[in-house]
Amino acid sequence: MEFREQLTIGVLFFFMAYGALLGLLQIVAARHRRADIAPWAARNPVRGAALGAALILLSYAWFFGTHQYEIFSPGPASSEFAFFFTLAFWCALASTRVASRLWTRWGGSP
Amino acid sequence: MILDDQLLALINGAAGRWPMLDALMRLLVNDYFVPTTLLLLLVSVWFEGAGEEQQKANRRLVLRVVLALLVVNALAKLANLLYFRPRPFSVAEVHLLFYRPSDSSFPSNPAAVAFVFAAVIGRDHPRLGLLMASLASLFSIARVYAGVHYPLDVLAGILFALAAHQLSLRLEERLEPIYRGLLRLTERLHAT
Repeated sequence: MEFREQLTIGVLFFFMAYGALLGLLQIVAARHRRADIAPWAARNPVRGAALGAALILLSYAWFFGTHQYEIFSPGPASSEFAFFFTLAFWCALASTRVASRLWTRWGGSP
Repeated sequence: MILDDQLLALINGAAGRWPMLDALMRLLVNDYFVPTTLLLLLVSVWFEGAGEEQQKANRRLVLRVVLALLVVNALAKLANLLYFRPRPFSVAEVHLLFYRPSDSSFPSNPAAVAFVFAAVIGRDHPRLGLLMASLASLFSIARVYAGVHYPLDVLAGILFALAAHQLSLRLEERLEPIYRGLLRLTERLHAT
Protein backbone atom coordinates (compact mmCIF):
# COMPACT_ATOMS: atom_id res chain seq x y z
CA MET A 1 0.00 0.00 0.00
CA GLU A 2 1.32 3.42 -0.88
CA PHE A 3 2.33 5.94 1.75
CA ARG A 4 -0.35 8.39 0.60
CA GLU A 5 -3.14 5.81 1.01
CA GLN A 6 -1.83 4.84 4.45
CA LEU A 7 -1.74 8.48 5.47
CA THR A 8 -5.33 8.90 4.24
CA ILE A 9 -6.63 6.04 6.38
CA GLY A 10 -4.50 7.27 9.27
CA VAL A 11 -6.04 10.76 9.08
CA LEU A 12 -9.58 9.33 8.72
CA PHE A 13 -8.95 7.12 11.75
CA PHE A 14 -7.63 10.14 13.68
CA PHE A 15 -10.90 12.03 13.10
CA MET A 16 -12.98 9.02 14.13
CA ALA A 17 -10.91 8.49 17.29
CA TYR A 18 -11.06 12.22 18.05
CA GLY A 19 -14.88 12.24 17.85
CA ALA A 20 -15.22 9.05 19.89
CA LEU A 21 -12.79 10.32 22.54
CA LEU A 22 -14.66 13.62 22.79
CA GLY A 23 -17.76 11.51 23.46
CA LEU A 24 -15.96 9.38 26.03
CA LEU A 25 -14.75 12.50 27.87
CA GLN A 26 -18.34 13.77 28.08
CA ILE A 27 -19.34 10.44 29.67
CA VAL A 28 -16.36 10.60 32.08
CA ALA A 29 -17.27 14.18 33.07
CA ALA A 30 -20.91 13.18 33.59
CA ARG A 31 -20.06 10.04 35.56
CA HIS A 32 -17.49 11.65 37.87
CA ARG A 33 -18.89 15.20 37.89
CA ARG A 34 -15.61 16.48 36.39
CA ALA A 35 -16.31 20.16 35.74
CA ASP A 36 -12.68 20.64 34.63
CA ILE A 37 -13.33 18.38 31.62
CA ALA A 38 -16.88 19.32 30.63
CA PRO A 39 -18.85 21.58 33.05
CA TRP A 40 -22.07 21.17 31.05
CA ALA A 41 -21.86 17.39 31.45
CA ALA A 42 -20.93 17.63 35.14
CA ARG A 43 -23.93 19.89 35.79
CA ASN A 44 -26.39 17.67 33.93
CA PRO A 45 -25.01 14.10 33.90
CA VAL A 46 -27.91 12.55 31.95
CA ARG A 47 -27.57 15.03 29.09
CA GLY A 48 -23.78 14.81 29.28
CA ALA A 49 -23.83 11.02 29.01
CA ALA A 50 -26.37 11.15 26.17
CA LEU A 51 -24.20 13.69 24.30
CA GLY A 52 -21.15 11.47 24.85
CA ALA A 53 -22.90 8.33 23.63
CA ALA A 54 -24.21 10.20 20.56
CA LEU A 55 -20.71 11.47 19.71
CA ILE A 56 -19.27 7.95 19.94
CA LEU A 57 -22.06 6.44 17.84
CA LEU A 58 -21.84 9.17 15.18
CA SER A 59 -18.07 8.83 14.93
CA TYR A 60 -18.34 5.05 14.53
CA ALA A 61 -21.22 5.34 12.04
CA TRP A 62 -19.32 7.89 9.93
CA PHE A 63 -16.10 5.87 9.84
CA PHE A 64 -17.44 2.34 9.52
CA GLY A 65 -20.43 3.29 7.38
CA THR A 66 -18.74 5.46 4.78
CA HIS A 67 -15.12 4.32 4.46
CA GLN A 68 -15.46 0.64 3.58
CA TYR A 69 -12.75 0.78 0.90
CA GLU A 70 -10.12 2.22 3.25
CA ILE A 71 -11.12 -0.06 6.14
CA PHE A 72 -10.78 -3.17 4.00
CA SER A 73 -7.36 -2.24 2.61
CA PRO A 74 -4.12 -2.94 4.47
CA GLY A 75 -3.88 -0.07 6.93
CA PRO A 76 -1.32 1.46 9.25
CA ALA A 77 0.92 -0.75 11.38
CA SER A 78 0.08 -1.07 15.06
CA SER A 79 2.65 1.59 16.01
CA GLU A 80 1.11 4.09 13.57
CA PHE A 81 -2.37 3.13 14.80
CA ALA A 82 -1.21 3.85 18.38
CA PHE A 83 0.32 7.16 17.28
CA PHE A 84 -2.92 8.40 15.68
CA PHE A 85 -5.00 7.26 18.68
CA THR A 86 -2.66 8.97 21.17
CA LEU A 87 -2.68 12.16 19.11
CA ALA A 88 -6.48 12.05 19.00
CA PHE A 89 -6.60 11.56 22.79
CA TRP A 90 -4.46 14.64 23.54
CA CYS A 91 -6.35 16.74 20.97
CA ALA A 92 -9.71 15.68 22.46
CA LEU A 93 -8.53 16.40 26.02
CA ALA A 94 -7.14 19.80 25.00
CA SER A 95 -10.37 20.67 23.12
CA THR A 96 -12.60 19.85 26.09
CA ARG A 97 -10.33 21.78 28.47
CA VAL A 98 -10.36 24.88 26.22
CA ALA A 99 -14.13 24.58 25.70
CA SER A 100 -14.74 24.24 29.46
CA ARG A 101 -12.63 27.35 30.20
CA LEU A 102 -14.48 29.36 27.55
CA TRP A 103 -17.80 28.10 28.90
CA THR A 104 -16.87 29.24 32.43
CA ARG A 105 -15.51 32.58 31.21
CA TRP A 106 -18.65 33.33 29.19
CA GLY A 107 -20.91 32.82 32.15
CA GLY A 108 -21.74 29.13 32.12
CA SER A 109 -21.83 27.61 35.59
CA PRO A 110 -18.65 25.65 36.49
CA MET B 1 -3.58 -29.81 12.37
CA ILE B 2 -6.41 -31.91 10.92
CA LEU B 3 -8.72 -30.75 13.72
CA ASP B 4 -7.56 -27.19 13.03
CA ASP B 5 -8.48 -27.54 9.34
CA GLN B 6 -11.84 -29.08 10.24
CA LEU B 7 -12.66 -26.30 12.68
CA LEU B 8 -11.67 -23.69 10.09
CA ALA B 9 -13.91 -25.40 7.51
CA LEU B 10 -16.79 -25.44 10.01
CA ILE B 11 -16.51 -21.78 11.03
CA ASN B 12 -15.48 -20.33 7.66
CA GLY B 13 -18.03 -22.58 5.93
CA ALA B 14 -20.80 -20.40 7.34
CA ALA B 15 -19.42 -17.32 5.52
CA GLY B 16 -21.38 -16.24 2.49
CA ARG B 17 -24.64 -17.87 3.61
CA TRP B 18 -26.28 -15.15 5.67
CA PRO B 19 -25.63 -11.56 4.51
CA MET B 20 -26.48 -10.12 7.95
CA LEU B 21 -23.97 -12.39 9.69
CA ASP B 22 -21.35 -11.57 7.05
CA ALA B 23 -21.93 -7.83 7.58
CA LEU B 24 -21.54 -8.25 11.36
CA MET B 25 -18.35 -10.27 10.93
CA ARG B 26 -16.94 -7.72 8.47
CA LEU B 27 -17.53 -5.06 11.12
CA LEU B 28 -15.81 -7.16 13.79
CA VAL B 29 -12.92 -8.48 11.70
CA ASN B 30 -11.39 -5.20 10.54
CA ASP B 31 -8.31 -3.62 12.11
CA TYR B 32 -10.24 -0.74 13.70
CA PHE B 33 -13.57 -1.63 15.34
CA VAL B 34 -12.55 -3.88 18.24
CA PRO B 35 -9.10 -2.30 18.84
CA THR B 36 -10.62 1.21 19.00
CA THR B 37 -13.38 0.04 21.35
CA LEU B 38 -10.83 -1.65 23.62
CA LEU B 39 -8.73 1.53 23.65
CA LEU B 40 -11.78 3.64 24.54
CA LEU B 41 -12.51 1.30 27.45
CA LEU B 42 -8.86 1.61 28.50
CA VAL B 43 -9.07 5.41 28.46
CA SER B 44 -12.18 5.17 30.67
CA VAL B 45 -10.10 3.16 33.19
CA TRP B 46 -7.57 6.02 33.22
CA PHE B 47 -10.22 8.39 34.59
CA GLU B 48 -11.95 5.82 36.82
CA GLY B 49 -11.57 5.76 40.61
CA ALA B 50 -13.31 7.24 43.64
CA GLY B 51 -10.25 8.60 45.43
CA GLU B 52 -6.77 9.72 44.47
CA GLU B 53 -5.21 6.39 45.45
CA GLN B 54 -7.66 4.41 43.34
CA GLN B 55 -7.09 6.72 40.40
CA LYS B 56 -3.34 6.25 40.71
CA ALA B 57 -3.81 2.47 40.82
CA ASN B 58 -5.95 2.62 37.67
CA ARG B 59 -3.41 4.75 35.82
CA ARG B 60 -0.70 2.27 36.77
CA LEU B 61 -2.96 -0.47 35.38
CA VAL B 62 -3.22 1.39 32.06
CA LEU B 63 0.59 1.64 31.90
CA ARG B 64 0.74 -2.10 32.62
CA VAL B 65 -1.49 -2.73 29.57
CA VAL B 66 0.86 -0.61 27.43
CA LEU B 67 3.86 -2.59 28.69
CA ALA B 68 2.10 -5.93 28.10
CA LEU B 69 1.19 -4.78 24.56
CA LEU B 70 4.87 -4.05 23.85
CA VAL B 71 5.83 -7.47 25.24
CA VAL B 72 3.18 -9.36 23.25
CA ASN B 73 4.23 -7.62 20.02
CA ALA B 74 7.85 -8.58 20.68
CA LEU B 75 6.84 -12.20 21.38
CA ALA B 76 4.75 -12.38 18.21
CA LYS B 77 7.56 -10.90 16.09
CA LEU B 78 9.94 -13.49 17.53
CA ALA B 79 7.50 -16.29 16.74
CA ASN B 80 7.10 -14.94 13.19
CA LEU B 81 10.88 -15.09 12.73
CA LEU B 82 11.06 -18.68 13.94
CA TYR B 83 8.03 -20.11 12.18
CA PHE B 84 6.04 -19.01 9.15
CA ARG B 85 2.58 -20.47 8.69
CA PRO B 86 0.79 -19.58 5.44
CA ARG B 87 -2.64 -17.98 5.72
CA PRO B 88 -5.65 -20.27 5.17
CA PHE B 89 -6.62 -18.49 1.91
CA SER B 90 -3.19 -19.16 0.40
CA VAL B 91 -3.30 -22.94 0.86
CA ALA B 92 -6.99 -23.83 0.69
CA GLU B 93 -10.32 -22.78 -0.77
CA VAL B 94 -11.91 -20.44 1.78
CA HIS B 95 -14.60 -17.75 1.79
CA LEU B 96 -12.40 -14.66 2.16
CA LEU B 97 -14.16 -11.64 3.69
CA PHE B 98 -11.05 -9.55 4.26
CA TYR B 99 -7.95 -8.33 2.44
CA ARG B 100 -5.01 -10.72 2.07
CA PRO B 101 -2.47 -10.14 4.87
CA SER B 102 1.04 -11.22 3.82
CA ASP B 103 2.55 -11.97 7.26
CA SER B 104 2.51 -15.29 9.11
CA SER B 105 -0.82 -16.71 10.21
CA PHE B 106 0.71 -18.04 13.49
CA PRO B 107 0.12 -16.66 16.07
CA SER B 108 -2.92 -14.44 15.57
CA ASN B 109 -1.54 -11.00 16.45
CA PRO B 110 -5.00 -9.39 16.66
CA ALA B 111 -6.15 -12.09 19.13
CA ALA B 112 -2.96 -11.71 21.17
CA VAL B 113 -3.32 -7.93 21.37
CA ALA B 114 -7.05 -8.02 22.19
CA PHE B 115 -6.65 -10.66 24.91
CA VAL B 116 -3.83 -8.66 26.54
CA PHE B 117 -6.41 -5.97 27.41
CA ALA B 118 -8.72 -8.57 28.96
CA ALA B 119 -5.94 -10.37 30.87
CA VAL B 120 -4.44 -7.24 32.44
CA ILE B 121 -7.64 -5.32 33.17
CA GLY B 122 -9.60 -8.41 34.26
CA ARG B 123 -7.32 -8.91 37.25
CA ASP B 124 -8.43 -5.66 38.93
CA HIS B 125 -11.77 -5.02 37.18
CA PRO B 126 -13.41 -8.43 36.58
CA ARG B 127 -16.57 -7.10 34.92
CA LEU B 128 -14.69 -4.84 32.53
CA GLY B 129 -12.24 -7.67 31.91
CA LEU B 130 -15.14 -9.93 30.98
CA LEU B 131 -16.48 -7.33 28.55
CA MET B 132 -13.02 -7.00 27.00
CA ALA B 133 -12.64 -10.79 26.80
CA SER B 134 -16.02 -10.99 25.01
CA LEU B 135 -14.90 -8.38 22.47
CA ALA B 136 -11.57 -10.18 22.03
CA SER B 137 -13.41 -13.50 21.50
CA LEU B 138 -15.73 -11.99 18.88
CA PHE B 139 -12.72 -10.42 17.15
CA SER B 140 -10.94 -13.79 17.12
CA ILE B 141 -13.96 -15.74 15.86
CA ALA B 142 -14.43 -13.14 13.13
CA ARG B 143 -10.80 -13.61 12.00
CA VAL B 144 -11.44 -17.35 11.52
CA TYR B 145 -14.88 -16.75 9.97
CA ALA B 146 -13.31 -14.30 7.47
CA GLY B 147 -10.66 -16.86 6.44
CA VAL B 148 -7.52 -15.04 7.61
CA HIS B 149 -6.61 -17.24 10.60
CA TYR B 150 -6.82 -20.87 11.74
CA PRO B 151 -8.38 -21.59 15.17
CA LEU B 152 -4.96 -22.76 16.42
CA ASP B 153 -3.49 -19.32 15.57
CA VAL B 154 -6.13 -17.74 17.80
CA LEU B 155 -5.44 -20.20 20.61
CA ALA B 156 -1.73 -19.40 20.35
CA GLY B 157 -2.59 -15.68 20.40
CA ILE B 158 -4.45 -16.16 23.70
CA LEU B 159 -1.49 -18.04 25.20
CA PHE B 160 0.87 -15.29 24.01
CA ALA B 161 -1.36 -12.70 25.70
CA LEU B 162 -1.30 -14.61 29.00
CA ALA B 163 2.49 -15.01 28.75
CA ALA B 164 2.92 -11.29 28.01
CA HIS B 165 0.78 -10.44 31.04
CA GLN B 166 2.95 -12.59 33.33
CA LEU B 167 6.17 -11.25 31.82
CA SER B 168 5.04 -7.65 32.16
CA LEU B 169 4.23 -8.27 35.85
CA ARG B 170 7.78 -9.54 36.36
CA LEU B 171 9.27 -6.63 34.44
CA GLU B 172 7.26 -4.11 36.42
CA GLU B 173 9.61 -4.01 39.43
CA ARG B 174 12.60 -3.27 37.21
CA LEU B 175 10.68 -0.55 35.37
CA GLU B 176 9.37 1.09 38.55
CA PRO B 177 11.38 4.35 38.11
CA ILE B 178 10.03 4.73 34.55
CA TYR B 179 6.48 4.03 35.77
CA ARG B 180 6.78 6.65 38.51
CA GLY B 181 8.21 9.20 36.09
CA LEU B 182 5.40 8.61 33.59
CA LEU B 183 2.74 8.88 36.31
CA ARG B 184 4.24 12.16 37.58
CA LEU B 185 4.32 13.50 34.02
CA THR B 186 0.69 12.60 33.38
CA GLU B 187 -0.35 14.16 36.70
CA ARG B 188 1.31 17.42 35.64
CA LEU B 189 -0.38 17.27 32.26
CA HIS B 190 -3.74 16.68 33.94
CA ALA B 191 -3.19 19.65 36.23
CA THR B 192 -2.62 22.06 33.32
